[in-house]
Amino acid sequence: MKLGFFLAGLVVITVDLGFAQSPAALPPPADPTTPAATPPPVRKGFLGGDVPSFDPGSEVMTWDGKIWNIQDQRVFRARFEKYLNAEEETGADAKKYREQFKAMLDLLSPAKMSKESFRKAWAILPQASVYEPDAELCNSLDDAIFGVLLAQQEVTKIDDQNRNLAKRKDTLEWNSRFAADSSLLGPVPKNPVAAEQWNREQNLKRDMKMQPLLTELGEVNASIAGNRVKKEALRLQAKLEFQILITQLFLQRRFEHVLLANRFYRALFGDGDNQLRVTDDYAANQSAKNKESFGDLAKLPKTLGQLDALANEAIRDVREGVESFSFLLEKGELKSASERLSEAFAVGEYLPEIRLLPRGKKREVLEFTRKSNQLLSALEVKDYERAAALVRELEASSKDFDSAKPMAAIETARTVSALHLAKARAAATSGDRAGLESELRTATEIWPRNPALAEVSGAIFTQADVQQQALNDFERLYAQKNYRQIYEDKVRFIAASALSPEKQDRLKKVLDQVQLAEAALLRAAELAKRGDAAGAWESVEKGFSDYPDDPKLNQARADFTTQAAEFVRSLRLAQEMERKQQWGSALAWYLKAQQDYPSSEIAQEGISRLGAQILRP
Amino acid sequence: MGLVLASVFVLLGVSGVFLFQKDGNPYRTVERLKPADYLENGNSLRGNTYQLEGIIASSLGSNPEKGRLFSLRAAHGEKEWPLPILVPPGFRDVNLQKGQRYRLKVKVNEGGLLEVEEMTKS
Amino acid sequence: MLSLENVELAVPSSEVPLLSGITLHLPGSHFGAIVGPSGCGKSTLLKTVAGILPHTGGTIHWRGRNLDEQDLDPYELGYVPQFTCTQPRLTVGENLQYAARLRRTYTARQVQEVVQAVEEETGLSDLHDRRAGVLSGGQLRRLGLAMELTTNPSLLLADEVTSGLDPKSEEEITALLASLAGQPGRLVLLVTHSLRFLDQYDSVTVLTGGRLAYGAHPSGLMSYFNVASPEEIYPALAERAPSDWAEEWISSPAELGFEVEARVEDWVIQTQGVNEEKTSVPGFWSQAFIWFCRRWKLFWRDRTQVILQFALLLIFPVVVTLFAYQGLPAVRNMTMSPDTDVVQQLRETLDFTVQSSRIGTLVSGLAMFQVILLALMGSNNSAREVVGDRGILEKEKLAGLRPGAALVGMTAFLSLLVLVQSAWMTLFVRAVCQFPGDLVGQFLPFALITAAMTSLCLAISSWSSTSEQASLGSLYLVGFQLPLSGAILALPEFLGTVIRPVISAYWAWSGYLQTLRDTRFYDLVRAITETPMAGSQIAIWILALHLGFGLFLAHLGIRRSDWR
Repeated sequence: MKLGFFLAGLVVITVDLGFAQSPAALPPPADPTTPAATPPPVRKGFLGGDVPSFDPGSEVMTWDGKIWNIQDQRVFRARFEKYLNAEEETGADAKKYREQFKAMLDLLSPAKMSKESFRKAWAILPQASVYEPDAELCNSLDDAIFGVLLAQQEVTKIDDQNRNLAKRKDTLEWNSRFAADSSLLGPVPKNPVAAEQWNREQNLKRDMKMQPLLTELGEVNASIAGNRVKKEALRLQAKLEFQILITQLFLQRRFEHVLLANRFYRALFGDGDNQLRVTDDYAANQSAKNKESFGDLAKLPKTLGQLDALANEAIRDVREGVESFSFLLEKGELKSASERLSEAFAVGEYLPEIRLLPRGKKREVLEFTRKSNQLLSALEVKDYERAAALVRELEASSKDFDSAKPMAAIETARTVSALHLAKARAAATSGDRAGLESELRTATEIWPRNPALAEVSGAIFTQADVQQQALNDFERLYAQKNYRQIYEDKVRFIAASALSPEKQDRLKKVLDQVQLAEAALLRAAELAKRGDAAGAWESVEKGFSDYPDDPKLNQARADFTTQAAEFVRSLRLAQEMERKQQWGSALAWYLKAQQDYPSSEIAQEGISRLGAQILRP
Repeated sequence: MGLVLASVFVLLGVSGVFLFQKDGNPYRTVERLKPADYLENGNSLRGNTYQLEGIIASSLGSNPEKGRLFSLRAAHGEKEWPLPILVPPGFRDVNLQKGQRYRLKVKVNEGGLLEVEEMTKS
Repeated sequence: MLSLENVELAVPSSEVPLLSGITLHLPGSHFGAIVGPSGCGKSTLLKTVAGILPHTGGTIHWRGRNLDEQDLDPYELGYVPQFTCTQPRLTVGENLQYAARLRRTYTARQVQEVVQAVEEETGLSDLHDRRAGVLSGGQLRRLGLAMELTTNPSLLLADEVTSGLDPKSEEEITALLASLAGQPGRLVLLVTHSLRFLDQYDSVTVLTGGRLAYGAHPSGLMSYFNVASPEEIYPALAERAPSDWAEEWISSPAELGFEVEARVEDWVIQTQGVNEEKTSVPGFWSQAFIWFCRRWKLFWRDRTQVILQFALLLIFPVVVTLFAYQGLPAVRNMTMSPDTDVVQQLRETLDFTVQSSRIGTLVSGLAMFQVILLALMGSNNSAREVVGDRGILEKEKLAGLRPGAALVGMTAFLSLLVLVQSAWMTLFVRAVCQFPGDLVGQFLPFALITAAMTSLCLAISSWSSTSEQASLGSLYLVGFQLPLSGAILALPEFLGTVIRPVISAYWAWSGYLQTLRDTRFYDLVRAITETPMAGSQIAIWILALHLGFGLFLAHLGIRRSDWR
């Protein structure tokens, strides 16, 4: 539970310490009795996994062959950036701290180890804790040490107790033996029954005599055992707590503190027993869920020595990483440099190599890193445009920046988004609302910042508004009888009225009407092109009778009237005469109209009509 | 003497020819219908009788009691006017065909329509 | 009896007068000869005396009568032209018969007697039934004489009747003439260039260059001209100018006494009159009838003509029917309803136009064809009617034949032809092709076109100098009928108005088509032709006018004098 709490408090890292995932050869489980003689293989053996590597392109940090959670990536990146921005810790305080640390380590080194050095080292601890970046870890260590010492005192007390108890026990044992021996007080009755009863009485007396002795003996034994257990427990507890601290320090990547703590531990528990019992106790009880979150504790190193070694390893690794970083930086390979640095930082954030890195160098990486981070962010939020821009910038700044992967990802995302968008558009035009939404969603998911998205989704997501607006417009235009305008905008009206059969009906009627008018105009235009102005006029006239309000028809009508003046005049006069019921003249004018334009249907109808009228009996 | 006679003869002949040729018109004394007048206001000519010459253009219908209705192409001046004429049942034996040229004596009846009173091929 | 005083004949075409200063006095019962070289004016003088040529100066008295004031009666004069005008197809007897009948109102018996007498007189009795066409020259001359003698003329003028004959005939004719001159009161004047029979003549008048060189008894001839033989007279004449001869004659003494004799006779006649029976010329209609009869006879005597006429009569209608042997096709009409689509209407109109052009052309063509064929027949009828017999006609006219009567006679004869031809054409074609229309209405234009053409060609004939001329003229007349009729091609309006009145074929065609008025054929014809159609009545009227005009012209043509 404590470990879990600590782990939970570790915002930076949640590590899935699943050894099994790592293809690397696992280090042989350390023999608890032997110190960790063989350090784990360099590249494969850091806790059984890879050295943490940071790959902005794939947004992953692989450490130990595991994949880091995005959630944590951000925070990590933030920290790294912060680090890059920060000054190197070359201040006086920092120096002092370093010296204190060095002194402590030195005092506690196996060669110089003594009670005196221990005490000296222990005295420095609180002082070191003053340095802020220490994060009171030295204090914790201090407390832990104090706790251990207290426990040891307790143990001593218990030992004393036990000595006393042992004496008492001896006494009691002698007494009880005695009691047991002097037991028979009377003769044994001959009567079996009575004898039995007498025996029974005798036993009872004996028992009654021994009882308090036994009881006390028992108590004393119990106490002694209890004390022993207590003592053991105390000792274990102390160890455990210290181990926990060390582990915690390790997990916190305070590798120097780990070394220091280890040294203190050895000084405290000079029994050679450096088996980490943390795992034993808690691993057994660790729940599956807990394992998921915090890693299977069973997989933790079994000995402190191992831990020590790993810490040293980590320190060395970081050192190497920093060297590599410097080298790469000189070469201008910022990507690799930053990678190295971030790897080193990820591992040895608190190590002096990291802390003492000159700001100038860091700044070089900072920009790159910032951009990388931005790129990652952009990729994260799927702002592919910005990501693409950043990729270009990164490419420019760093020689070894591989734009292929990010660009591939960007392009893929863009393309797929565009594809989905196209599908969405198609769905929109075909009226597939559901399809449209799903495609749009997918497109959005893939590339939320797609500029094209705005227009389509804008269209869709304001669909409701648009639809309503369209319906309103339709009603307005319908009331105004401005059918042509409706026809011009028919697309949106069709879409808008899709759900209202009544409106659809009306719309259809309107469109049909305008369609007819259009057809009439088209026909008229064709005829006019062939020089048949009269035919054109007639075509328009027919359309006009169906739809008298159409401005285009009106215009066309006026035009053709001028062109086919003679014919139109004849027709007009015919119609007028017909109105006046002058059948003869009307018929004559219809005939004249037919003479002017033989194909005239209007004239023909007039003639037939009047003929019938005249010949009616 | 003979020459005088001869010339008189010739003169007679020629003039006679001219006279007859120009006016083989049985309805000579009847006023010619001006199509334009009729078209403008047929009703104003109601009751009048006119002569008309034209070519049968088409049949517009028939009724055993009322007669046959035709359209007639009448030339007047440069233009040709189509006029509707009603051929009463009395003329049912006359075979009217498209393209025939007729000289007609027509009366503008109550309905403003030209009703044929007499007709002869010209 | 015959006195010529200073007779002169001047013509505009010649500076020198044809005759000048001819003074002659000749009594009756006298056989005078007028001689002279060729072209001296002998025939001219004779014709002047006969009245054929009007003299332009001087006077001619016959029997004390100034011929200018009172012309010779036809029966007084007998004029025998050089080339005998007889009808070759008639016999001698028939020739004489018709001549007699035309000139005198004889009864049939009288005619026979006269003919007989004349034949005897002229020695033609044996040739009574001989066709004149087979007579010899001399016989013909005698016939000619005989024909003149049918009227027993007191003045017998013979123009070179002996010329061109063999010496024997010449002698016979001269002897005949001399014997004829023996009749009391008869003056026989013979124009001849022969000087063989000077002894036969009672007087000889010698002309030279239109002037009188000698006019006295033949005995003084040789001494006057100072020649040994008569043959030398003409050369002697040629030595001097005619005027010289004329002057010499004038200045020579008038010792022949003919003048006195002539004057005495004249005085006697004037006071006592002539006791000759005056017979009248036959009446107009008689003459016409006689002419008709002769013509009829002549027609049937002319086998060629008969065959030709029959051929034409039969063939022409047949040719017409060939074009419409199966009758006239039925007419498909156009749709009358106004609402058939334009394309349909146009197609129909096109079909109708095609049909119109086919059927309309057929009907119009058939009508015109008939008209033209009838016109041809008409022209054939009369093209040579007058001109062929011009000589006879002139002679007969001189002998008293009224031109009008001749015309009537001709017309009557021709009418028969016309009627037969037009009737047959009409009926035959109608029967075969089953043409619709009024029969009479169709017959009339046909008859009239034939008649009009006949009459016009008769006129042409009467005004032509030769048969060829007349034929040509008739041909042109008929030839222009068709193109100018307007039936095939319409003339321009103004031209048509002017020309059509005189084109008979147009009227006949138009008049004929009017009979089809009630049929669709009429419409089709109207559709294809721009030529205006005339009404039946006016067509008849115009054709009648043409006919009348033709006859009128023919009359004038016959009346005019046209001696060859």
